[in-house]
Amino acid sequence: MSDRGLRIQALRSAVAGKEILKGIDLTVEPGRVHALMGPNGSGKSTLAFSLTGHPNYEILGGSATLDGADLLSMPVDQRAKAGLFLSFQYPAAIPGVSVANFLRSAKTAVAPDSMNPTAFRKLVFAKLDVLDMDTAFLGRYLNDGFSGGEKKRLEMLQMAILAPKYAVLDETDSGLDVDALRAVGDSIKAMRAEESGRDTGFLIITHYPRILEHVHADVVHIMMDGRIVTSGGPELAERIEREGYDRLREELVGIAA
Amino acid sequence: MTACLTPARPTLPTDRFWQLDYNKLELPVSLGSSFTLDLPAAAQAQGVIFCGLGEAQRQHPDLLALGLRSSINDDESRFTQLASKDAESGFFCYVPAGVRLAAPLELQIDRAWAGRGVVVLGPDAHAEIIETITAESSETFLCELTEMVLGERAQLRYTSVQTCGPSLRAFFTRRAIVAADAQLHLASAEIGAQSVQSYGDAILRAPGARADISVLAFASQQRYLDLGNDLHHAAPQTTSTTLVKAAAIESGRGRYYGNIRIDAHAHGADATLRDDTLLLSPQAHIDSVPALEIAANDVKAFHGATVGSVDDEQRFYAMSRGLSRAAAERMITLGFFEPVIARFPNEVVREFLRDQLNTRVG
Ligand SMILES: Nc1ncnc2c1ncn2[C@@H]1O[C@H](COP(=O)(O)OP(=O)(O)OP(=O)(O)O)[C@@H](O)[C@H]1O
Ligand SMILES: [Mg+2]
Repeated sequence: MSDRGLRIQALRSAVAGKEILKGIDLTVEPGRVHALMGPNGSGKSTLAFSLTGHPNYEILGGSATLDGADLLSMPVDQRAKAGLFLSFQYPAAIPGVSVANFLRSAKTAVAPDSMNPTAFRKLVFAKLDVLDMDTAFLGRYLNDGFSGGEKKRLEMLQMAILAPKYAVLDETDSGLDVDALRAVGDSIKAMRAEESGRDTGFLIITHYPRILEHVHADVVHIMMDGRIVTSGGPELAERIEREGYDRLREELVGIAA
Repeated sequence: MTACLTPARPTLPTDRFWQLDYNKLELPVSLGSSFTLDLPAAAQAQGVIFCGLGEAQRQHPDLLALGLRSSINDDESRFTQLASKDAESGFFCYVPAGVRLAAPLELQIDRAWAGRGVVVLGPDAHAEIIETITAESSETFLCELTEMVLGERAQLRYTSVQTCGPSLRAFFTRRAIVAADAQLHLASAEIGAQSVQSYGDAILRAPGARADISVLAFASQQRYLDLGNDLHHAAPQTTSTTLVKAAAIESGRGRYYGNIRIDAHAHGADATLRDDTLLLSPQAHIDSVPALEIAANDVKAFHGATVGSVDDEQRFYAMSRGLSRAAAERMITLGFFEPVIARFPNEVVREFLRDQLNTRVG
């Protein structure tokens, strides 16, 4: 199918009446990893929320399709069912709802007759193991009192269990210790493993090239002021790390002038 | 004495809320057909009494006198008058000193009635009573006042779960006198009925007495909830914890009146009262009226109240994982209730409450 992919075209969106995304073009192909970098406030999270349908983000123009299906016309839950997953930069806590209950409800919602309770349990335990998480997590209330790193691991656990077609990771690597970073890398790799027939496409929003040592990025995009200003290979991430955004900005302005 | 025991609760303009002509009320049905008491043979052998009020009056008048009218007078309110009208209507439970019941005593009320309940625990007695109220009758009402008296070091867990039909009006006043080092856990769930008045009070009368009060309440459609707890610390070193979780959907309405009273000589008293309200529609409304009357100064007293609706970020997060809007809100609402459900002492009851809320929310 030629229209496979998470295709974003000329996407513009606003928050609180202010235009933030000023025309984004980006296609994440199945099984490919795209990294998205950019200074604070450049609009990376806005892109993630616009794709997932957060009610505060108003779409002004453009399109976004998931394997050909129009994402922007779908309600939030429908987008998840279509195979889109967002790993939140700041996941919400839901007190009183256990992790186990939440995982079961979410899995049942996106894949109604995917598996029996025993198989589901096995899957959950296997994924906990990959992420080096204690089974005691299952009984805790969702993100309630979780440390920053624990929240990120839980996002990865949900991703592994829900098995989306496309995953947007919004700074999942921020604030992680070395082991957690490796665990995140491992769960991403597991979702692209040829042998399991999985070819999840990734959009990894990050400030650090370090995550890209664990997961090879096929393309790196740089966002500034609501636009993707340049794209390249993994060396682009290293250059940003070395030189910062100012050099790049000056250079781009120089080109434009 | 009476003035000290009776909480000064602001009265409601009753008729407007209950839509009842009090003067025309008749006692709905006789005691016998309204409820079922279950006294296991093992408990009976230990001297436990669990019977109708009429039988108690005839056969155990002295024991009954330990509890009857110990804290609730007939004329305290129009509903206590009503519940006292038929002297035979009600139930009596007595657990002798030192007896520790292994299994809960069960009381089922499946028809409308009006009457008194009396529970007396001797020193060191331990008991659990589970009351389920499921009356379906329309055009009528249910009225219960239950007095509890706990001897020294006694432990009573009294759980009441009300899931009456949508046209029934229900009135409950439950009040306990707790002796030295005794512990009361009063848990009530008000899930059904057209309108509910549910008061649960504890008088901590001697040092070391403790009361834990748990209230779960849910109002939907046109329903009205009038909830109240009065925690009276009448002795030093007494403790109370109260947790109230109330939610309203559609045009459900209500009020909560929570009062902590600490007498001047009740040094070292420790009282915590928390009530949280969740409003699930713009028409839903619950007022929370906190009150603290503290006459001693070396005490701890905390009263916290929150009112909110379903949080947008929580809803979005759950929906982004594939849950429909309704499923997300149901899950968040059940999560809201979970801390109070967790305080109900019996797992069967806890599961029942989760099931009931799951089908009734959204
Ligand atoms: N609710 C809001 N109200 C007003 N402005 C907002 C709101 N949400 C986001 N913005 C603004 O939109 C812009 C883009 O924010 P966004 O969160 O997308 O940035 P980001 O690239 O993810 O930054 P970071 O690297 O710090 O996470 C910022 O200027 C931010 O202040
Ligand atoms: Mg961001």
